[in-house]
Amino acid sequence: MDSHWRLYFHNWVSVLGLAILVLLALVATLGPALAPFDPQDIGIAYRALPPGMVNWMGTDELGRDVFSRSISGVRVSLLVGVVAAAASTLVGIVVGSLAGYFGGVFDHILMRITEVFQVIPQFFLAVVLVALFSASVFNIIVAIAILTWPVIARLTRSEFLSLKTRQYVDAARLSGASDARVIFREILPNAMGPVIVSGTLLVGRAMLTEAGLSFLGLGDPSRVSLGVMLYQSRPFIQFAWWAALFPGLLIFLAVLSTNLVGDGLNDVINPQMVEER
Amino acid sequence: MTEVLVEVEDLKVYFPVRDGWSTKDDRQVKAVDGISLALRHAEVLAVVGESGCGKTTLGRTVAGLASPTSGRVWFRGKDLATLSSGERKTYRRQVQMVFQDPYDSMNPRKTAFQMIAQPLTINRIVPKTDLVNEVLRLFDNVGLAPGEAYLNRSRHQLSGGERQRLSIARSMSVNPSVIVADEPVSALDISIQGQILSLMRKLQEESSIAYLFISHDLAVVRSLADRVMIVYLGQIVEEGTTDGVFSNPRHPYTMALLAAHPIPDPELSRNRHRIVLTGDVPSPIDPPTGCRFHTRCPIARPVCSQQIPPFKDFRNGHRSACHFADQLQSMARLLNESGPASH
Ligand SMILES: Nc1ncnc2c1ncn2[C@@H]1O[C@H](COP(=O)(O)OP(=O)(O)O)[C@@H](O)[C@H]1O
Ligand SMILES: [Mg+2]
Repeated sequence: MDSHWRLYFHNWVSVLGLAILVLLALVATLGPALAPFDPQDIGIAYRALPPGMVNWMGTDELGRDVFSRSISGVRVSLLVGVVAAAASTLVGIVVGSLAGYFGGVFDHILMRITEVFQVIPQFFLAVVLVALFSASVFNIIVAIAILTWPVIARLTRSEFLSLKTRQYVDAARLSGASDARVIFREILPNAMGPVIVSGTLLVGRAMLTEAGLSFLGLGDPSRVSLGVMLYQSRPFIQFAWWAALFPGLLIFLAVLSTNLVGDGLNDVINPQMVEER
Repeated sequence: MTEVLVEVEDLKVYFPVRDGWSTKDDRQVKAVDGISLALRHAEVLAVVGESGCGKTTLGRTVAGLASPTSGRVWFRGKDLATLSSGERKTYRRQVQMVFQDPYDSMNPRKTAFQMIAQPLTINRIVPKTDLVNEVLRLFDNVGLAPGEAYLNRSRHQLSGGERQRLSIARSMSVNPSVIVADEPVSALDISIQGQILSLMRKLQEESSIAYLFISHDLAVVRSLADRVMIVYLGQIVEEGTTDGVFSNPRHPYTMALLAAHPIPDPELSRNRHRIVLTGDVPSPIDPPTGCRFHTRCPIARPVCSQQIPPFKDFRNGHRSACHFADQLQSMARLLNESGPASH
């Protein structure tokens, strides 16, 4: 693994992505402790103040501190991104492994399902799901996971299809290894590389989907997410542009950083030459 | 006669042809198409044929890694298809395999120790406390010394020969009675091949293991095998004792394989008439009619493409499926005298 990490750090773009992501993650975990104001506090007297010494990112149309709200927004966005991507990856790995390993009817059904998901416009489906089941962070996460697991499942399946014909898999069977052992100890560890990369890229996609939903008014009204901030500040963009600019910028940074990290991991894992050298 | 360990009767192993998305294609790859054999205690039976003739599939089926399309495999008189799960476990242990590609037969994420320890722990061969010692003993047994230096190496830290030694150690770890060796030296440098072959011979003599020794190179099996079976497109074309087959080949395919790898033995080569093999093995999806070898056979006659040649029996269980098994030498002599390929 050491040499893998060294390779990752050879590319400064990947390092930059990782740095931004770590910073955002710190902000998200420390959260309220960093915020100078309560993100929900309304101050009639302080409406639409431009960025300054007290309100670093200004205040919005209701006099709420944009900086404090952004911190909360990063927290919600990352939460949605990471949890949705993790759930989706987990489901995708389980389904993809079983389909790839056992094949047969189960595999056939899975492939048809994932094909359906590939032709339906995903964002549209997310809108329908969230609109049907009320807009809460939990439902948004579930909707995103439902939309994205087939991608991971297909990928895992194809890795399994090629890895299960390896001679070391035959050797493990002859050693007396059960199917479960072959799947988890022999094949899965070798299939994880590309799957992790895709999972990382999903984090960014999930955050974008959440922002998109919120921007359509389908965000969780009780949580301050970056998308909700954009949605609420849009009508006032002419006289309080900062209330839209900063959350927008943060979404951009969050998505960009996860994509850079994903690409960086991909470069490390994909050549797969590290081991051979 | 000694006990028959593995018996295979009219084995057929077909694979569906998967052509992209079409599922309508019901053609089949006839990888193994009617092979019977018996492998006895401590015997070395060589299976020889070109690449694509179904040797690996035969070996994997004998090792229980592929299932027969039809026909049967018995182990110690028990039909594999009817084994209980407990018996199946014992069978798994009894029939081990050494693979063609020593690199691919090691999990890239495992160390040499983990690779050998796995069968030992799963099958509870030794108590946990003796695990390291047993692994070291197995290393030593296959000439990996000093063993300690190898424990933590992974596959890219080993040479081809070392990998194959490890593979052999893994197969030996569960005290099998049969080892299917699938071209165990074909991926190795010539200089290493001899070492691995003599290691396998040593282990076989020490532990009385039976080998189903697969090779595409007839020369490799000469000093190792008791009997030789020549396969072409999933079928046996000739079989017999090693001496019988080498000194008096009864099938043009065997003669061609012998000519492909000349043996430095003046006594044998003096009276031998050469048959040179041209072209590739035809597709096992649509094997040629009649004698499957007729499309490449320099002495083929019209009958060869029309009738499937029956086996003709010679001495010591030597048999050949060639219409002209009796007249081969004279036909080949004519061929040689009339000069190279005059058609
Ligand atoms: N799992 C499989 N699926 C489809 N075709 C296979 C499979 N395994 C082997 N074959 C085909 O069966 C034939 C015999 O292959 P194999 O047993 O590997 O022969 P050999 O070991 O003599 O080279 C080849 O045409 C090969 O492509
Ligand atoms: Mg083979």
